[in-house]
Amino acid sequence: MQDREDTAPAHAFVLGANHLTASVALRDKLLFREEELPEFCRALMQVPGMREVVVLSTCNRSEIYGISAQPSVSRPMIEKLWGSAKGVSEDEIRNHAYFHSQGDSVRHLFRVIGSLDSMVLGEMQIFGQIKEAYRVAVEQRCVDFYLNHLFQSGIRVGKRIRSETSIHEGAVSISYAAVELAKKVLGDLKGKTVGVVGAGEMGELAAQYLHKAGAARFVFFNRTLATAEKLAADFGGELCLLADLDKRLAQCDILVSATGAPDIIITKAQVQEAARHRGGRPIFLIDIAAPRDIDPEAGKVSNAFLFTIDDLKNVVNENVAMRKESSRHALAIIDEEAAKMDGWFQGLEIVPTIRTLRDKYNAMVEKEIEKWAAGQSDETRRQLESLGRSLLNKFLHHPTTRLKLLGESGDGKRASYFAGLLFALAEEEREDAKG
Amino acid sequence: MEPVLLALKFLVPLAYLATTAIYGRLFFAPEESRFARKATLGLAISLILHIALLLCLGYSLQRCPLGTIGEGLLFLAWILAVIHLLSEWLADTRRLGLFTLLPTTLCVVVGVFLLRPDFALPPQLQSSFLVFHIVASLASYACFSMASILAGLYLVLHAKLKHKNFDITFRKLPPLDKLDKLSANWSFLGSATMVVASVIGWVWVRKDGLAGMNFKELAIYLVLAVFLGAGISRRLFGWRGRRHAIAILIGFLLMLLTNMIGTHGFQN
Repeated sequence: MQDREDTAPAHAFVLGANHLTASVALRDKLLFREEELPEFCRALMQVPGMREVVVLSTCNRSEIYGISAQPSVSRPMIEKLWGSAKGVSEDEIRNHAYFHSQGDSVRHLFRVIGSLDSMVLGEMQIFGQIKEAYRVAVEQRCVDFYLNHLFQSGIRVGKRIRSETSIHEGAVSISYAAVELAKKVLGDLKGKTVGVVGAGEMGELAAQYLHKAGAARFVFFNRTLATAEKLAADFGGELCLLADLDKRLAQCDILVSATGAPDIIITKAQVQEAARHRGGRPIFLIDIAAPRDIDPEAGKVSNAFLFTIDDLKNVVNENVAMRKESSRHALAIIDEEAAKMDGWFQGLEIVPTIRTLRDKYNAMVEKEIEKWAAGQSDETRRQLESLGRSLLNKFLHHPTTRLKLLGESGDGKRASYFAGLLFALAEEEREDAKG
Repeated sequence: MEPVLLALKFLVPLAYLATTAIYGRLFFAPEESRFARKATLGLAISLILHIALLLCLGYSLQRCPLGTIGEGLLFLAWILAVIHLLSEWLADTRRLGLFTLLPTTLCVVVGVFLLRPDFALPPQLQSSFLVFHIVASLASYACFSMASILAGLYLVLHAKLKHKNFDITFRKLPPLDKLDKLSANWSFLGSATMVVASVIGWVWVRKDGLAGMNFKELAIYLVLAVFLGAGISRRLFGWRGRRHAIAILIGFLLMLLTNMIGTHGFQN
C-alpha cells in the first residue's frame, strides 16, 4: 500500500487483450479464474514501481489497470509475469495486447464500463464484472488513492450511461427478441402457458428464455413422446403428441414451433379455432423453423400474432441500430467525465508544492509559538497554538486553492515553478535535503 | 384579481403547450430519461397554475366556474391532466403523456378563448345540483377520453404488430395487454360516473320540475349504452382487444357528436 502523500509521480495505465486484439484461444489462455485473481494481484504489486493494481478478466477481455511511477518500465515486467502465470510467451502478449497510459487509460476504462468496447454493444454484464474486479483488488489491498478515485469515477460513468442513454435497451439476440415481442403482446409473462412444438435445440433455447421471463406452464408437442421426454422433465412440463395440438392449442398463450418438418404443421384453421376458444385473449406464435411450420395466413387471424425468425432478426437489427445511436450520447458522457479525470490527475502534480508550502509555513508558526509560549501557562500555549493554526489556514487558503485550480487546468508545472520562486520553496527543499 | 386572472389565462395554455412538447420529446427521443423528470415537473406546474386559474375564475364570477362551455372545457382539461398524473403514478404510463396532454391542451386553449367573465347563470341553472351533475359528467367524459386514447393506441400497436413495423412508436408503446386492460378500466370508471351524473340530473329535473327527456339526453344514454355494452360484452363474450377498442372509439365519437348537437332543454 502506498501513502497518498507519496510525492513520486503516479501514472495510470492499462495493459490488456480483448475480442478485437486476440483470438478466442489466446483470450482463454490469458483468462484468470476468480480464485486466481487475488494471487496475481499480489504478484503484480511486487513489480518495481507498481503502486496500485486492478485485474479485470472476463471471457472477452483480460486487462490490468495499474498505477506506476514509470508505466513503460513496468510494462515488460508485467507482460513477463502474466506470460509466466499463464504459459504464454511475452512476445505473444505484446503482439496481441494494447497499452494505454494516463488519459487514454481513463477513457478506455470508461468505454469498457459503459459497454462501448463490448462485443455486444450495450451489454451490461461488464458493469458488474468491473465492480467485482475492483472489489477483489480492494480486498487484496492493491487499490489506494488513485485507482480508488478512477474506479469510483468509472462506476459513476457506468451508472450515468445506464440511466441517461438507451444503449442497453432492446434485445440484441434472437431469443431475447422473441421474449420481448411476447411481452409486447401479452404484457407480463408470469403465469403464461407456453407450447413448444418440436424437441430440437431451438425449441429448448426458446423455452429456456421464456422460462427465465416468468412463463409458468410448458406443454411439449412432438410426433414421438420419447424424444421430448427429457425436455418435459427439465421444464416440469407436460408431454403431448403432435396429433393432440388441436385440443391443446387454445390453452397456450405462446406457441413456439421449431420442427424439421418439410410441410406446414399448424394451419390457419387450427389457429382460428384456438383463437375462438380463447375468449378474445391473444395468442402469440413464433415460427423459428426452416421451412416454416405455421401457415403464414395464421397471422391474419384476429388476436393471433405470428412472427418468424426473419421478423425476430428485424427486431434485433432495429435494436442494434438504436444502441449505436445511443452510443454517441454515451461517448459524450465519457468525454465529459474523462476531462474531469484529466483535470484531477493534472491537479495532483501540484500536490507536492502545496505540501512543501504548508510544511514551511507550519514550521515557521511552530517556531514562533515556541518563542512566545516559553514560560507561559498551558492555557496560553493552547491559545497561541490555536491562533497560529487559524492564521496559517487563513493566509494559505487562497494560495492553496489557486494552486489547485492552476494544477487542474493543466498549468501545474508552471504554477509549481512560480510558487517555488514566490515562497522560496526551493531553498526549503534544499534545507530539507541537508537536514 | 383581474390582472392575475389575465396572467393565468395566458400562462396556463403556455404551460400545457410546453409540457406537451416535453412529453413529445420523451416519447420520440431514444434517451427518454433526460425528459422524464422535466415532463412530470411541467405537468405538476401546469396543474398548479390550472387550479389557480379555476380558483381565480370562481372568485371573479362569485360561483363555481362550471356554467359555460369554456368553463366546462377548462374543468374537463383539468380532470384529464389529473387522470394522466394518476395513471403515470399508478400504471407507469408516463410515455403516453403526449397523447393525453394533446387533447388536454386543446381543451385549455379553446376553454380560455371561450371564457365569458360577464356570463350570469340562468335561473334554471342556479341550483346546488349543477356542480355535482357537471362534475360527474365531466369526470365521465374525461374517463371515456382516456379510455379512447388508450383504445386508439391499442389499435396503432395492433397494426404495427400485424405489419411487423418495429419503429420507435412500437418500442415506446406499452404492451397490448396493458393498453387493453387500462382502456377497459377507464371505460368502466367513465360508465360509473356517467350513471352517477344521470341519477343526479334525473333527481334535479324531478325536484325543480324541469323539462323531461329531449334528444340530448337520449344521445347521452346511447353513449352510456355503448360503453356499458363494451364492458359487458368483454366480460360475457370475451370481446377483448381490437373489438373492445373499436367499441370504445365508437362510444367516444358518439360522445363528441352528443356534445355538438347542443345542450339540455331548461324549460320549466
